[in-house]
Amino acid sequence: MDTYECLSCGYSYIPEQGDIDSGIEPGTPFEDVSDGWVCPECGAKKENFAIFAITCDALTKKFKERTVLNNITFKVREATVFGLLGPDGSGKTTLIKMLTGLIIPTSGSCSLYHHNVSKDTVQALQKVGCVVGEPAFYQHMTAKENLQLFAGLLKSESGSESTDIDMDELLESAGITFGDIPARHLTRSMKKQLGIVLALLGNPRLLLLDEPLTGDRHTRAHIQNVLQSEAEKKTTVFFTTYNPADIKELAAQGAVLEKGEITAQGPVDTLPLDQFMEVNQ
Amino acid sequence: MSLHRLIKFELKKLFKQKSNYIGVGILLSVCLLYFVLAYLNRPAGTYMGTDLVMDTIYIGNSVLFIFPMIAILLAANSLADEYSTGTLLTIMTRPLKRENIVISKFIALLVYLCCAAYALLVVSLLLGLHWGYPENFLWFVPRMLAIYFMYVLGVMVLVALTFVVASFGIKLVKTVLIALGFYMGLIILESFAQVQKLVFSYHVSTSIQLLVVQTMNLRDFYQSLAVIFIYILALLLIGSTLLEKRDMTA
Repeated sequence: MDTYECLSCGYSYIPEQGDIDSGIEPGTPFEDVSDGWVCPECGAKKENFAIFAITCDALTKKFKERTVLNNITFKVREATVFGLLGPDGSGKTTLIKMLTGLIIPTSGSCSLYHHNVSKDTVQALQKVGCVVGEPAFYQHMTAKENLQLFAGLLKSESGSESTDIDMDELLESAGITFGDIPARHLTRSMKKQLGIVLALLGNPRLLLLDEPLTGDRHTRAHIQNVLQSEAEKKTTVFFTTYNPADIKELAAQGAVLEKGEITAQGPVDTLPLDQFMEVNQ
Repeated sequence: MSLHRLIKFELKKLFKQKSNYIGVGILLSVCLLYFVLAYLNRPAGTYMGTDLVMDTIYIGNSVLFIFPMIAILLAANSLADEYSTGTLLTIMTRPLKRENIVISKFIALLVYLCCAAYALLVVSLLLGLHWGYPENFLWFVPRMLAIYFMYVLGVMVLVALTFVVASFGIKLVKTVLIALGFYMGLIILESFAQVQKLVFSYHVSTSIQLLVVQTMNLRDFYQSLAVIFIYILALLLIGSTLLEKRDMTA
């Protein structure tokens, strides 16, 4: 059961708690709440509520005296493609690592579907697929064997093992033709492509992807197709990039990260992407 | 994601890696070499199959040294190497408890080392047929299984110790060297009567000695067993806490 948040005042409807004052029993999903119900804090209508896949609140990370991320605050609504633009060293990978629980914030917090990543990592990472940095695989196994191995860790919603997935079909749909090649012989582009397929195992509702669109033109096109089809399936996609063109092509919402601080955020057409275009050219 | 899936995951990885069989190959080769030497130097009547089985563990202390070495290398490969190559991060971005990651690696290595130890036992039992076994040999079979298990359990303390070292994010070679250094330090401490009861290897030797005697002192045996388990649990707890609390910056 998802927590819904009021877009006007930030009040959270938590199904486990319900809204006793309005006569809504604890355990009532938001979808079952009557249409006449209004926000107890600001009186906003039910339509004014939404699910937030990612919530970062004053997130700060310091390594010794060096501040890598400073006071990062943003939210990503469910079923949105959100692009984070930033040059090398701006803190993009550190942010993704904090969102996946690999790095602990110095202060502030981040949540995935209202589950605090630092305190409730297991719950927060349910139904989340990630690619952090350069994806790594077991060198002595082929690409397909690596996928099969990780699929064995998952259990699908129907209760059946994810290893039941037809790997050949999955590889084909992702445009992977190197399934039988040992991981030690894969190029960086191939690893990136395989990493994204790995992130898609188990049908996640949120994808956290660190620079997914690097690599040759062929790989980029394939990954773009995969991300577009995920967006059509209403999967929330959060990706980082140093290339403003990626944000323009794929994202609906975005933010700009410079020297560990968010300098702009909002709908993509409101972001100052042109100044980054010039730098990249 | 439950623990049994993670254990299956670790076992698949462990048994699929060809290089992991090198250690078992070395152990069995040493066993065969010892058989050839015993065959040439130990005439029937003065030597029995049971002697060979017991000697196999000690073989001039070579197996006693090779086995912990293999365990430390496998443990370092399982955590330190996975950390530096990045595969550990891939696992950690799955909805898994950090302690389950450490426990599954530990159990997978326990299974693997038990397989290696019992393969050694079976081979030495077969080779021991050359000298024959005494009539009342059957009572000793479960004891032998227990002796080999105690030995593996002792080695597992080193595995847990290696996990603690690897949890600091240290590279493979350094992890192996530090873990070996600790092991050597503990062996030195064992030779001092004042502190030997605090050292796990003393309790491994004691429990094995107790198992060899037909009327064994159960109280002392359980005491030794408890010390070994306390070592393992404490080290696993430290290892998983370190993994939980530190930033994965690799």
